[in-house]
Amino acid sequence: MGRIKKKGVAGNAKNFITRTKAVRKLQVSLPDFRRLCIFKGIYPREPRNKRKANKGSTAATTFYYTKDIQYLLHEPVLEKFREHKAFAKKLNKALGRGDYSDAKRLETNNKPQVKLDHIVKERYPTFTDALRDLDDAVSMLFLFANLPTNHNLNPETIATCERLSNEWQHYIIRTHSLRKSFLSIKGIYYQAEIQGQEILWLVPYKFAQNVPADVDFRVMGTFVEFYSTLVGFVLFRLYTKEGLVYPPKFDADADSKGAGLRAFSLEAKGVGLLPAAGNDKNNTKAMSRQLATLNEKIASLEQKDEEDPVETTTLEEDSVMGESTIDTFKPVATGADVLLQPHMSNVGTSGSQDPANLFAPFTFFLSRETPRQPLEFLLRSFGCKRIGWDLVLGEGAFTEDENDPLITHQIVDRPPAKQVALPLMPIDGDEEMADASKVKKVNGRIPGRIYVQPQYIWDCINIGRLLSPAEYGPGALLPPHLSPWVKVDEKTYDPTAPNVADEEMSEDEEDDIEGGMEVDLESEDEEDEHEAIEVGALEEEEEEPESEDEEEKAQQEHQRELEAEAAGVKLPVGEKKKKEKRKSKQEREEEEQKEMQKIMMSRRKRKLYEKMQFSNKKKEEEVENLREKRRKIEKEKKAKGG
Amino acid sequence: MDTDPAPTPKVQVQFVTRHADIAVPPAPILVPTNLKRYGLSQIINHLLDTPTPVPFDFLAAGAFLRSSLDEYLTQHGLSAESVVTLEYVRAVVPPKFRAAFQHDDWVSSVNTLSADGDAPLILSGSYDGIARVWNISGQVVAEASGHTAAIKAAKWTPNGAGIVTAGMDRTLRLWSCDPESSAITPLAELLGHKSTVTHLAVDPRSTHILSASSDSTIGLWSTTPATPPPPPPSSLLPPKPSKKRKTTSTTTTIPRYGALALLTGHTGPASAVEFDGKDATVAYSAGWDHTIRTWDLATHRLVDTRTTQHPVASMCVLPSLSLLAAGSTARHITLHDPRAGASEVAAGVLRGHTNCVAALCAGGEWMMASAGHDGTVRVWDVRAVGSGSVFVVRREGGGGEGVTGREKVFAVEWSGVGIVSGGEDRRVQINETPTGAEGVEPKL
Amino acid sequence: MYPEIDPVYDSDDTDAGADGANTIGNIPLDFYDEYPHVGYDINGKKIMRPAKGAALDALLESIEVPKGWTGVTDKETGLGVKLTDEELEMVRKIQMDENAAGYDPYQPTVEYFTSKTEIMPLSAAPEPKRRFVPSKHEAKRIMKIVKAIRDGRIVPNKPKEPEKPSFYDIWADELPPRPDHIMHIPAPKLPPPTHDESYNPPKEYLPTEAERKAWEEMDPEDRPKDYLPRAHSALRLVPGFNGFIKERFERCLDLYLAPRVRRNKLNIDPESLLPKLPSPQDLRPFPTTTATVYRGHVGRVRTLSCDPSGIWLATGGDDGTVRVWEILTGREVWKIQVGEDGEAVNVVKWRPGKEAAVLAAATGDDVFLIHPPIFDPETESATKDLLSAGWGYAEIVKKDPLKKEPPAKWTKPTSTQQDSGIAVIITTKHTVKHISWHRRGDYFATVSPEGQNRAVAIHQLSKHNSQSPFRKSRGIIQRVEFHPFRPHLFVATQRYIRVYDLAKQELLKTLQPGSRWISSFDIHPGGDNLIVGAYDKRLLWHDMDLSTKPYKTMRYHQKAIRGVKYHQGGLPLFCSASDDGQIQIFHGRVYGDLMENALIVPLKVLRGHKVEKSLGVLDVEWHSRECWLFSAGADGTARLWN
Repeated sequence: MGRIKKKGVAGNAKNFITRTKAVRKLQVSLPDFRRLCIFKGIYPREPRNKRKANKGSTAATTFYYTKDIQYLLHEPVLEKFREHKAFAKKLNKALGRGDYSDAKRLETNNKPQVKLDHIVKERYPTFTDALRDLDDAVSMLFLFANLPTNHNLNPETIATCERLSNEWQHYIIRTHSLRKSFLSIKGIYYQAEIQGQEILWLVPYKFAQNVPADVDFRVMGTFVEFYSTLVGFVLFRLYTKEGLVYPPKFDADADSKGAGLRAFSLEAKGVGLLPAAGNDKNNTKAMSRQLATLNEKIASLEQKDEEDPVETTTLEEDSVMGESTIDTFKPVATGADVLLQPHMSNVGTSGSQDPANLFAPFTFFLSRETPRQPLEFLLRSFGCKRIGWDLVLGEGAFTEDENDPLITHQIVDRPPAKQVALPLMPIDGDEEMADASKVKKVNGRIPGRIYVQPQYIWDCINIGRLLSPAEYGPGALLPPHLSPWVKVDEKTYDPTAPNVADEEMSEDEEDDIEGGMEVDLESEDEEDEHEAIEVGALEEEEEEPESEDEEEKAQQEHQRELEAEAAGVKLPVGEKKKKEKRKSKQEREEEEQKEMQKIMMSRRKRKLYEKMQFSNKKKEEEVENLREKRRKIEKEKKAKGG
Repeated sequence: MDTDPAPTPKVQVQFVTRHADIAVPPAPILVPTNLKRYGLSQIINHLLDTPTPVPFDFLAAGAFLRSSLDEYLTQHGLSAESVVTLEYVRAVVPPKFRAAFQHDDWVSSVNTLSADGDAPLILSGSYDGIARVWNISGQVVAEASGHTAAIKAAKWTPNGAGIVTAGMDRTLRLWSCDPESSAITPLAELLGHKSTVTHLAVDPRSTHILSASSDSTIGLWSTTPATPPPPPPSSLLPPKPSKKRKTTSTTTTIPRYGALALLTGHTGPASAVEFDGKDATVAYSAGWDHTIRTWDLATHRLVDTRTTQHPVASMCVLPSLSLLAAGSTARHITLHDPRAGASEVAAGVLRGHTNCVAALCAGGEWMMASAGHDGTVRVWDVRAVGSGSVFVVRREGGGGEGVTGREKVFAVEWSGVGIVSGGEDRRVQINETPTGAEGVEPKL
Repeated sequence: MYPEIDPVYDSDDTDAGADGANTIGNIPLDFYDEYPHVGYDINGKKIMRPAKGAALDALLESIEVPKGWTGVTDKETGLGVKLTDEELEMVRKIQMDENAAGYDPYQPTVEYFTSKTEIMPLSAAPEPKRRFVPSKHEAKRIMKIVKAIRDGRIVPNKPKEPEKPSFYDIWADELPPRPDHIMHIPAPKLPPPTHDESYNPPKEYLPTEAERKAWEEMDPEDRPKDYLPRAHSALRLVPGFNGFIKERFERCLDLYLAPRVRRNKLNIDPESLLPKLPSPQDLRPFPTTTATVYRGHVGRVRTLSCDPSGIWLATGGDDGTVRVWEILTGREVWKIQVGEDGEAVNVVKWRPGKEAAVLAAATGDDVFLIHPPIFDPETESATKDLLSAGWGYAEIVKKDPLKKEPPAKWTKPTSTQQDSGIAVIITTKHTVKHISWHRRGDYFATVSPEGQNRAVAIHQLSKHNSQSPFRKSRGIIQRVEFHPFRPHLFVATQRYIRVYDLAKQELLKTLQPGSRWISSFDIHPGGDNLIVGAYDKRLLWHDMDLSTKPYKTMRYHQKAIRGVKYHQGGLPLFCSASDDGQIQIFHGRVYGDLMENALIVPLKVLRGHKVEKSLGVLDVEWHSRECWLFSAGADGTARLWN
């Protein structure tokens, strides 16, 4: 016979510990405990059985996993907290005594610094783990990079966030690993793919964020503190694997002039570093004379530079590179499985069809009203090298003057000037280039360049190929901007695919356009014959025995549909009602059956089942709602059209 | 400049260099963007007012500037306002073909002895098992025959006192060589390797030889058999005379020695071994097991293991940069810093060969020559990691007999003589490089 | 209480000698219950149990209490314990938490070393001067410091700058990813945005007035979404989202406050199950180009094999020669003419195992066991011993008459052949088309398709005997292979592949590739997967746990497939060689857990072998470690692909 089990020594009772207990066990204050949890990524659990876990009481308490807490017991950061407590005491004492110099000294000299390296390593034992968990980190950094400094967030933090987010963008650009982006009302979503991990982050629009009163910045600060460490290490790894030096050189004054991304200069791990130039003064003096005479020398060169003995080396790199890319296989005979092959290459290999450098051949110019940072980031990470913008957007542009002949695309977001023609397609060619310098604008446009609104960039990227810029022209009514992450299946509602109703709507419209009088007449008599049809249909219904098998029914449906189709009207509502009525019979049976089954089900199972049903119904309702609206809109449009 | 009818746009260029003797003031100079290498070179010459124009090459962002500045700017999306930093170096004049020595069989290794002043001697090891000593005018001064199989490596011992050869018969052989009397006499036969000896390294400072073998061991030997090393393991002596090939008659007379040490650690065939440029007690070896290993010869200990992506077929030391260049069978050359931590990535990758890189040789401070199975010898500048090889030296496929000029090149050496290479086309080819440029100091 | 110890020589063991003490140590005294004594004293004398008086005198004792009576009996001696007064006093004090008796907490301090001068000082030396003269040395040092401070070499309590977070490669020594702990629940990612979050959504997503009102008067907590879809005609009109910080903050709270529970998801979408395609970088390395061409054979090269040490390559061809090549340089190091009068060498195979170098070559109906003289004497002798060991056995076998004659005859070669390296000649009845070694290298199986039930013969090296395992033939046998580690034999007929258990002598399973004529097959080193090449252009992948039908069927070749091979050295690669002169390389990764199906990605088509008389590539083999591929072509060359 088995021994009697004692209560409260195993299972839930042992595995879970309430927060108060945990705090007491760790002997830290609640805020410190919170910080610790954030750093170590420890979160409350939901025990299977609360009563067991909480000594029989079912009061609402937060539980932690006991092992987690034990794990915290010997944590260096905990030590740091204690040190900090002692330090705070000293500081207070000094302040109380009023010797501020002393306090200052303490503050500067022996304020304990918390290091989080080891935590990063233990939370993310492998690099992929770290990448997998990067979404929140990056979003957070980008948010803070855009926050104004105020009393409860210090400028260093924000500077760090700014730096890290820029470095992050640089890496993405460098490796062409950006995949999708989306303009939302909240901000701009980006999705990158690094080593097979997809990382999605959200960047707010460049506006002053309003800071709600009920936001506790200490919590967010703690998160940012950890995230900045994490992202720092991740970036180091990524940069080194790319063969780049981390951190990249940061040019402060360029940044102050608003160079943005250009404030950083990536440098590859070369061989030996360049010496600081101009180390010897003596020969500089000697050279002043030469410098004086340099200009005419150069002038002389400009003519005779044509006959340049150019020696070139044969470089097979690209061919070598080409070899190690993979071939595409196509089956020679049927009756075989088709194997998937990765198509998008991370490294920017040349070739316009490669999405990695979609915009490589073009030169973009951003007008002053367009958001520069996101556009620059997107264009660069999709291969565009030459981006110019107006000087008000900051410096570091490829060109500042709007009528630079090189520019092929210009992104504008301002309401169009009067009598705007459709944007001209580029009649590219050398003569264009030649006289482009003294080209004059026709109604505020420079011919031979494409004017698009910003959304064009996003849609191109999400589709992965260049769209026709026609409907993105300035002032044009933009096509709806859709989220690239919505997977289309039969359940979800797909705004792009026209449902039946819309289809023949459009047909009708066409009719009207081409049409004249008699068309309407037609449609009228169509109407009544369609009534006739319906009557017929009804009769059929009556005759139909209840015990008709499915496919026959389906056939009927089909036929009816076809007729209606021919009549050029959508299935009338009356019929739908009819259907419902007919359905109700089977429905009843089904419901009864369901009831039976439910009774048979166990309680938990039933709960689950009902929940599922509920959620499914909700979804369907939403979809139906959308469909309904769409129909209405289409109708209105038709009304307007007709 | 806008008044000027045809205004050539100008860009600010800052010229920097690593050589103090040809340094120009660091102040950015405004130069027209339509200039190419030649024009820029002219400018530098003007600044230095050199008596005779010295050709310069220009590096921008780790790659040689081959187009005009203008194209460079547009290519990299730089605005005309930005200051372009151009590093300039003395251009290397392309090596030109000088001579070719015909052999009876494939040439597996070359090594030159340029004793001070007098005519250099070229040692070549061939697959017919004979090592030949040539003078620069192409006569065979002496021959060393005795290997029972193909020779894979042949080297001069320090100050040209002798020769050490090794090959497929798993032995190293020491020869004393007196070029005047064209007498080569076998000194010793060094046994210990269980498989083909693929590569040899001779240290000019000490009396040590290193050998890399396909049995994945590194052999450490002494060039002076006076100090008797341990006798060879008896199991490695050829069992019965009957089994030996008939050509070996001398082997009975000459003494046999074993290795000072056989360094084990490689898990695949070892392909290359080199002494450190500065420290005679440090050696590097590379193998097909993707690793580059650092050895401490004093204690015969494995110090460091660096894992690369591909099997390493050849290696050389760039002493002045304390870098290791490793040529892989995957057609590229990677530069490693043996001092840096294990987490460090390769300092650079040189791409260009279209087949396995069979041999490497440093020439000068920044330059390097590589021989590939694609039938080319390539000259590299490690500063310009971005742009490929500086020059490509092809085989002079003269004299028919089915020589297509695409034969593999097995060996290359860049010394005072120039670039000496030998390969499948049964000839040693010499391409001379003006030693003035880039100061190619004669090795050994 | 024990008597005071007087500190004289060997006065330590205080009470051991005390007679009457029991020396039995701490063993339970009830051992002695049935004895008259309770133990032994130090002299080994029994300590008798004191006579227990009758209950009466016990009672009497209890009435008039003797001095120091406790009622406690010493278990060891069995006598009553008596306490003296001071002992009682001590007990009382201990109970009262007072100081133990005899200890006076307030005794006067005895000043041993005081400043008061003794009458008889220990040393008559006068007080040295340095006691009351300020030390020069100290002054010097102080002056040094003062000087340093004056000229600013030392800055007193200089504020140390807050050290920058130094980043390094934490994941340099990365552990292999370990399976997650059951209690570890990663934070769920935020769902990607949907269409209605777009800044310019399709019209149907815009809320109607009713919805808007409903949303506004809904309590902010229980709003389904914290935003209302809005449409903006242009990007510049999009305002900042003022709930941004709040949203982030709530996410933070969720991360560290929300209890996490593992829910078993019910509707798992199939995409999540099928493995993500690796990026081309992860697929490397794979062979891409010809590295070496082995020229020398006259006529076709039919077969090749790479020796276990991975240095030599053996080829056999129509000219009846077996040649051994140096892999990288392509140098022919050794050759032998085995097929007399130009009989083709059908197959060469190296014996696995590095201790000996045996090459099995088959021409016509002879199988030659060769040891090429290119190895060091040690290996050579070992090889000789291995090959000659069996002659003795062979004699014995010959002796017994009732043994039916074996399928093959083992004969000693002639002396000339012996000199050229041939050690054993095995003569079978029919032409041998295929040889397959057992991994231990003692057995090898030969296939000669003509001989019906003698088609397969298994030869044992150590005993020099051969046997044919199958009684009757089931179709024309094409190939046999040994399982990489189990005692199984795979036998391929034209239609089926049968798996036999050699230990139990029974048929395990029959695989049906469904192709008309199997040409070759190979077994994955893992042992559970198998690729089959067929003359009808098909390449089939079998997962033996899945079913007997192929898991994938690939038809990428224009002509019949001649050979298929897995990489045995740990790289997830396999290849197929065909008569159209192509070799196709695939990435075939087999996952550890049985849930996940193998992942197959086509990588590369290797072209180079010329097609002669509608024969292309006849045989392929991988290098044992590297991603090097050897191929034998009908154009008289063998190639190394790298």
